[in-house]
Amino acid sequence: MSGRVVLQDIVKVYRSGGGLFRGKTSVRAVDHVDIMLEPGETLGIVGESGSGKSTLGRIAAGIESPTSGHVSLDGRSYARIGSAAWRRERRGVQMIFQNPSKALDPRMTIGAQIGEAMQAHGLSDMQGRKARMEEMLALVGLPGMGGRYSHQLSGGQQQRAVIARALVLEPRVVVCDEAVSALDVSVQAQIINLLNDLKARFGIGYLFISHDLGVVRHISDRIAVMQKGVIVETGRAAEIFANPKHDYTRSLLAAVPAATPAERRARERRIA
Amino acid sequence: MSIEQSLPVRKARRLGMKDAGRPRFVILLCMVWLMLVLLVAAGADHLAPFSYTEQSLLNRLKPPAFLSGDPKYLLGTDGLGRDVLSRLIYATRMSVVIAILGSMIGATFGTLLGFLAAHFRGLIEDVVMVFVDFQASMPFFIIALAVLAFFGNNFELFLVVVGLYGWEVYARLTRGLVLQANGQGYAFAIRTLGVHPARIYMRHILPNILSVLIVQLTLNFPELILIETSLSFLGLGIQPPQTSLGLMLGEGRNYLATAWWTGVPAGIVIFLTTLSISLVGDWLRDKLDPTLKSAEI
Ligand SMILES: Nc1ncnc2c1ncn2[C@@H]1O[C@H](COP(=O)(O)OP(=O)(O)OP(=O)(O)O)[C@@H](O)[C@H]1O
Ligand SMILES: [Mg+2]
Repeated sequence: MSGRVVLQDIVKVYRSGGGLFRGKTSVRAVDHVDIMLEPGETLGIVGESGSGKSTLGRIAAGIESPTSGHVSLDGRSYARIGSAAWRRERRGVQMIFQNPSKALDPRMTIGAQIGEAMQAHGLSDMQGRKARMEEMLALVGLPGMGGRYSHQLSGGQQQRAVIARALVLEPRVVVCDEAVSALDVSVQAQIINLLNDLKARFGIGYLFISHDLGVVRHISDRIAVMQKGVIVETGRAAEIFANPKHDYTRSLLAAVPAATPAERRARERRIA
Repeated sequence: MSIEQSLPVRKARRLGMKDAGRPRFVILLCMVWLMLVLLVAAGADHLAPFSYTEQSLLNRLKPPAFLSGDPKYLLGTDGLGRDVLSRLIYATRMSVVIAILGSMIGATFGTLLGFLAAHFRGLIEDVVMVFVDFQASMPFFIIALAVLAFFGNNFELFLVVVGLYGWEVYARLTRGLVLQANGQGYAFAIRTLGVHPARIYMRHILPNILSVLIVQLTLNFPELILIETSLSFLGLGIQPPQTSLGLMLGEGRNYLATAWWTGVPAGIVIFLTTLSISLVGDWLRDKLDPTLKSAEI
């Protein structure tokens, strides 16, 4: 199973302003970042608000181009955004956003939206699409709900519908940007479990962005810690939690309750 | 606003609106009236008892039949002895045709420019918005007067001038709504699925903004009738012997004290028609919005 995303020396500078009384200002949202997402791996990205996680995620998904640097999926760089080739590439990499109610068209049934995604990539005929749509909905826990509009679903169900719409394309990589942050805690756990199930089934790689380390710990194989556009530390998830190297990682960790007594003891030793 | 919150709120709003006195039969009455107006407009040639130009100087300013006038003239006659009912029928046709075609022209033109501005951004957007601001800051009437006075009056030109009234509102509205949808919402999400932009505009964005545009249309429509009225009244619109509701109202104004029936019927038709369109438009907006529909439970 392929699906290797390589980001090399990525820089993203946002220029803003140039207003009447202010000069132009520029923000370095991402500053010389190198990361790699292995096929079928879940890479968590954590960091405080404004550290550039979302920007990095969009660049990795190919829906935003970096100011400089190189991105590739399975060795091929992304096509120009909006081009026909770019639209075809969308099949291989999908995004799931924070707010599912904003990601769904309120005037189209979720079944029709799942069908549309397949149609855009010429996947099977009408009958085949309908069967596949039903199958996908059942898989995400919304059996027979294809005729519903998004406002007839709860927040968690909406996110399931969004996941079904993305995964029906059988992407190799899915970028989840705060995909569970807007949901209730109990629902968060369900969605995380669903994402893990689907990963096991399809062998998808996730780039899982969140400011919530507790959530990231449950899903990630590896974790990258971001601060002010720079990746300050990467490592296996367990490793990062047990033995953070960077001060910034430690301060992030201090805000989350320890998962196990052993971890708590390790932390207390560090503080002492 | 969360889903859990919004449903009861919407439901309450909807019930509130019903209590506020827009029961179904009022809508039904409005629809019946609008159908009648359309039928009259379509069948004017068969319905009118007289030709709208036929003068009978012996029968000038006859009161309506129900005010002990000549039973031949159901709504009486005007200052030139023309049958008011016949003229009203033809005037209705003229005004309806102008208002419908005019609305279509303005809505189509403005919406199209709004889409173009939002899709291409950059230079095209700037140019469109300059025209929008220009149109919005010039009193429409002055432009209309200038154009009609300069190029002379013919029906097509008059139609285009009336039609362009309000296009800038559609353009601005459409641009804003499309940008909003493109920016963070469902349209952006659907684009990242690999769906073609043309399909996103037609199948997703247009249906979503249609209700706003329809409401705008129903706001615009009565204004169009007023524009037509005023221009015709000033002698720059529909020219006699043609007639329109506006022209009839203008002509009848001189007789308001002595022979009110020459102008008032036209005023009533204008009033009822614009009111019906507003009410039906409002009702239609609710119908077109599935997020409101489901709250009905
Ligand atoms: N489109 C944009 N235009 C200008 N500046 C931007 C834009 N997008 C992001 N930025 C800036 O880039 C920086 C990184 O933003 P980003 O959204 O990637 O942060 P984040 O880590 O995802 O934060 P959060 O946890 O709050 O979502 C911020 O300073 C932000 O203001
Ligand atoms: Mg973010």
